[in-house]
Amino acid sequence: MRDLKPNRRCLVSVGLVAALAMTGCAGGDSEGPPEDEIESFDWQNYEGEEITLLFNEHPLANALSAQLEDFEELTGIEVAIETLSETDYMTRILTELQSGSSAYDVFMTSQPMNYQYAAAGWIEELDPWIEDERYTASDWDFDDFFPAIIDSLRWDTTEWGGAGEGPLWALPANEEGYALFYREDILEDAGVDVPETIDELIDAASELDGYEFDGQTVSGFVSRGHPTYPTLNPYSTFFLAHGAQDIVDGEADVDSPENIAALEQWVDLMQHAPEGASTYTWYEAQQDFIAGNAAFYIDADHMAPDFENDTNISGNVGYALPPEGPEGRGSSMWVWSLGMNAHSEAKGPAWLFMQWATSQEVMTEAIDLGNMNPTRISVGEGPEMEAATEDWGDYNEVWQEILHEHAEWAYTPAALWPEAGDIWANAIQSAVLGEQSPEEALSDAAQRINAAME
Amino acid sequence: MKHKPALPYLLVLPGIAVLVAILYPFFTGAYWSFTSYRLNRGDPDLNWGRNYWSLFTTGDGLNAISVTLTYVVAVVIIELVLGVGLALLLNSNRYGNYFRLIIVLPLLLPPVIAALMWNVMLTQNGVVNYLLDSAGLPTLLWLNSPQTALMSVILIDVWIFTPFVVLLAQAGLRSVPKELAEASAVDGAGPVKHFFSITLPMMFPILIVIITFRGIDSLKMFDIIYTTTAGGPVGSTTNLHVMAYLEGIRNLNFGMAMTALIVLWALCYASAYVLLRFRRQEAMS
Amino acid sequence: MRAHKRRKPIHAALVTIALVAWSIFALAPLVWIFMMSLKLPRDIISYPPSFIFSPTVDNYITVFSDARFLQPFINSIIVTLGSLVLTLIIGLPTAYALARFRFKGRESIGFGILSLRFAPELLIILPLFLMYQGIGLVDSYVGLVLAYQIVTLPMLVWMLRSFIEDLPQELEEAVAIDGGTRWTAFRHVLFRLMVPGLSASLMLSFVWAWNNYVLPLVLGGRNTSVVTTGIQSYMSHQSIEWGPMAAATMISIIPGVLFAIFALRWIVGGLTAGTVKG
Repeated sequence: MRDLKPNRRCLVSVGLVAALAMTGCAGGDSEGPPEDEIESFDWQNYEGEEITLLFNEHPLANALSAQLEDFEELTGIEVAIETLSETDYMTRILTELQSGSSAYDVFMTSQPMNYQYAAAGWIEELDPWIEDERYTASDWDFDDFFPAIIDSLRWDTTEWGGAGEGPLWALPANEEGYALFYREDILEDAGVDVPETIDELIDAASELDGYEFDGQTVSGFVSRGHPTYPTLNPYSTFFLAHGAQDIVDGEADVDSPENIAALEQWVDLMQHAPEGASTYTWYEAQQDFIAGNAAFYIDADHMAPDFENDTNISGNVGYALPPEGPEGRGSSMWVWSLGMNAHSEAKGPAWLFMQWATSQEVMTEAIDLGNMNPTRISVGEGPEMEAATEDWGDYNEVWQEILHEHAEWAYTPAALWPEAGDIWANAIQSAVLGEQSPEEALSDAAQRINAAME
Repeated sequence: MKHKPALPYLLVLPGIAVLVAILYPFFTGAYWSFTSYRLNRGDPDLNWGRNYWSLFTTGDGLNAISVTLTYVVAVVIIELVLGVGLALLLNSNRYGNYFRLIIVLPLLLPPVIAALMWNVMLTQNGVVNYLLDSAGLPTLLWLNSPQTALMSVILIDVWIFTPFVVLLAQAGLRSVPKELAEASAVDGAGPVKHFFSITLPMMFPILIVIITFRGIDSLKMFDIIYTTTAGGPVGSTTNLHVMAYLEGIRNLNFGMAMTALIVLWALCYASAYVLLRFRRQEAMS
Repeated sequence: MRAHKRRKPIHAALVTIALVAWSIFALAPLVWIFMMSLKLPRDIISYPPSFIFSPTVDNYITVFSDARFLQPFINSIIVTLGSLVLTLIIGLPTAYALARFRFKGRESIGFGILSLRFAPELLIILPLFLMYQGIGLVDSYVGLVLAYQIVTLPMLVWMLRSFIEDLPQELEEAVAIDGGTRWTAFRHVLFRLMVPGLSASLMLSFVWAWNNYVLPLVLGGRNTSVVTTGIQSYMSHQSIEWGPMAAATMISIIPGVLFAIFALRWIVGGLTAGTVKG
């Protein structure tokens, strides 16, 4: 699929102005590292070049911006960075990539975006870069990344299959697993134990729903309910615990008995959430929890800093594993990673940036700058992480255990996946609102997903 | 006044140039609407009217059309009544100038931001429900329930765009000649009769302009809806523009997205055409 | 205002009450955003909502020391003013021709210009982007100013056209009889009479240009991002910085308010003559 032969047009002797050398090299597909551009690894190989990054507003982006000077000093490469809000970012990156523009060399991406971009040949395959020791520093330890994370970024571009196989499309820079948050103070006050299983969680949420605490009436639970695929992430803790899947052998499986059982329980639990939660996005759910309105909350573990940073609930939040179901525990994971534009005209410098940004040193330093979800095992286990999360209860153990034991990419890769995911999320909303029974909603969804897959 | 025959064409030339420049993107979009174009899958295949057929026959498509039309009708009627009413009040109030400055403020806020802020204020535990509750009134789920979401989005639109109607309507009212007003007062006509028999007919041309601009803009409404509900809950606020965004930008299904947009364009075209014809006939008579 | 005096005082009081009621509805959300801009994070997200809190100017300090907002703010001013100037240069002659000449295709041209506003932005945005990329207009002020014409031109042309139609032609003819050219007639007579109408149309064009969102998002870039995208950059994928966002919002409406204060003086007079005949 990939042509490793040197591109004739690029055979320009080393030493020429690199910008000139790159002209005309940008092909449609991933081409891997140019053969004769450099002789051996050196951070200064691309001194004087420029690259442009497109980021989504995120602690990862903030941390990297704060560290940029170090990179510029190390490599002599000049970096321009643009950061946009989530919706804006999606629109922009899409316009750029589909037009074959080389305006951005490196951008933030996630699994569903990888599928869309990889299928179109917009994003560079990274294995050839990683394997080429002229381009990759010998101490940049690839095996140090959490294996589950790396698997989630591999895909062989088979529509509705090939998860964890084939090329690596991006380097992981920030990870989200899904955890159960609870209010220690409320549970203690009410004499409720921390639930271990889904059944226990539903009981506990039901018991605490309407509980009066500190002059506030709290709801038992809160989570996302928006009819778009990100809602599936907290919900993944339920369907994975039931051993359910989205697609099996190219057919929608969201209406399997396991999926129906999972949704029935989720609907039960959401009855103890504020009624409006059926449309909450992550930020509305998060706000509700921070304002002290809910006892339990399932969402991304990376929200911990937002709870602990001088809010009404700081110091009173407990962190637990996702609840157990018939098939054990499970959590999806969302990985913000760095991808390279296949049309970039500065792939060499772009790759230097990517490996620098995901190096152990930079990731460790980022903890204090707000990117607290390392994708490297060594950084997770490091003293810096422990120090930063010292006052956050079990947080530091819980997120690592989720990532080691329970987290996986819970969905079947496909360029069409976001569409299927949205349909599924719509069904969940419809069931939570009581518009349809879980069974009806999911069987509708299965039909729609099959139709979309054609 | 005499003039060279070419002069008017020369004067409108730059305007036409802008129009022509936009034709290429427009026709490209129109062409895509007849294809199964997916952004991440190479060159588009023509599938002729398949997209249109599915838009007009599937539940989702029809729902989007119905939401679009409901939204436009509600928004235009409410804003027209409130806007003209407020304009009448402003004209008869000594402090009208000061009130007008306050009333116009919501128009100055970018609709995306206004919608985001309203979204926060209208959540179940938000400030609006808190105030309602404190006043002993029942609270609502606003944007979070399929029954009230569309209404809430319309409320936000009314908050932002009523000032636009106020500004134009006030101007229209001022243009009603004083003599007519006084004549009808002498006739002993009451204020209500006066409004319907004198003021309203005089304002007719400007009302058409208001309806045209508000109509087009609310047919195309995207910012407010996408920011607050993204078309939910359960599709209750998915209009054609939101549908097109979800299909195009999220699912990369550009063929279908362009179809929804072309239908939207046709709706804008048709309503403006009818309205402006109506105005021309009125102006001639 | 004689009619006003004839009214019963109770009537006038009711009118004032109704206006006060609507003003409260219009202002309340803005006041809430303003309060938010003076709050610390823990006061912003709290239940019950806090009405009494110790205000802080931290959010404003953040915004003013932050390139995420300041540069877009300046860009917005440049692009908006640029668009208004260009709209005026293109729109004024067009409006004048449509109003003062009878020529073949007049109505079609008028309708054609209005039709710029029909196309949803998403419909043209990708092809337009490709086109811009070809000419090298992406992420440039010129590119944005050109694209904004889609929004500002139809409104300005239609309002001005109606306004000119409403002005008596006799004055211009008098100038012509005195030996002046059409140009002198325009310059000395019409243009002066038009000032109120112009400021009215410009006010509304300003609002629509300033608040534009999709066009600058796609056609702009790192160097030309505008306030609508700038304010939203306080929404991250993990948490929303409500305080700085509220502060940025408050600052971003200041140019509009200033414009409104100056333009509103003229606006009613201008609109009166401007749009009545449509």
